Amino acid sequence: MAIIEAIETVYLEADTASVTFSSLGSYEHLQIRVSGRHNSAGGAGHTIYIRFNGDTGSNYSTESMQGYNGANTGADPYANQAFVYAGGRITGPLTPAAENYGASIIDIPDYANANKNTSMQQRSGTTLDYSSGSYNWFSGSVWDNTAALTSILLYPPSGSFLRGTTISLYGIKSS
Amino acid sequence: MAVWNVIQHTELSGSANYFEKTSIPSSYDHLYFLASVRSDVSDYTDWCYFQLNGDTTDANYNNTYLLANSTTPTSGNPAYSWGGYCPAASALADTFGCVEIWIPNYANTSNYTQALSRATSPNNSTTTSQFAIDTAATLWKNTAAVNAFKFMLYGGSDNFVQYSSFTLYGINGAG
Repeated sequence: MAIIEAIETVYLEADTASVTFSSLGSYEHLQIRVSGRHNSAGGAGHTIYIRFNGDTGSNYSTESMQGYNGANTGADPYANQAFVYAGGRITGPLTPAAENYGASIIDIPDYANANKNTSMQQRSGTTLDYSSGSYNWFSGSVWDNTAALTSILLYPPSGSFLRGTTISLYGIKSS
Repeated sequence: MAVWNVIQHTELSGSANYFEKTSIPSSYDHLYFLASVRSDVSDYTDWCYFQLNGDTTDANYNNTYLLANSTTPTSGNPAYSWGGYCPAASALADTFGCVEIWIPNYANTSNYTQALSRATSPNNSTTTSQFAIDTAATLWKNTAAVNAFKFMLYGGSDNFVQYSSFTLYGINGAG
């Protein structure tokens, strides 16, 4: 019996505004892996926004820590947002190489536990061919709701995920 | 041969001072620990650490950490192990933090043991020290194979609250 299983992989064959996973299975933990790029005009890197169970309220908070644009470092808290801010990074049209897609790994432990708010942890990197717009990103988030997750929506803040973006959802068991 | 194997999973039905697994088989290549935890201490965050093979001497461990609990990340190199920060009693209700620890080649008797940890303590606050995210590398200066792992909160008397969960996995390589 495999402990980690692929639940669903979405490979975009056309530009797509959002991706939703609505069959999350019965596991202990979830992991999302993204190889992504967006098509919004004038954009370098973008965050990926995430919402759970269709909740559009200001119930999401995120804290991030990042190295970026060469030698810069920083940290940013975002309280009571309408989405998980910085659920990963994706590259954009300003990236010189069209083949350059950002990478993200998003862990969501105990996603079905109705006694806990949903917390998550995100790691992401977009190293471009130039220092401006490059990010090494680590963040944590909470959705202020104890409901078991039933759906996960991922979308760029503007534009669409570019063709070729791949998003995989994995389930991790505990027995 | 399965790549991921569950060694032990525990979800607390009441508060507990620590999670511990002894008699860890030496038959895997790596250990991976994933916890979703909250502390009962009267503060916004609490700090976790771990002991290997019952070694309680801080000086036998060293870590290099990168921490953000404000808008300015900090780093240090203290002589103890580092598990990371988690939410505590004053943080947003029902919010648990995510702690991940990798211990590669844990059964190797030729080298000291290295552990990589990442932790997120999310909160709906932008106030310094009311949230935290951190990552660290811990060195245990001992060549013994790791056969016991204990994960606990700072101070000795702090407790993990009900519904905190801990999963220890054994990870296999090929062959």
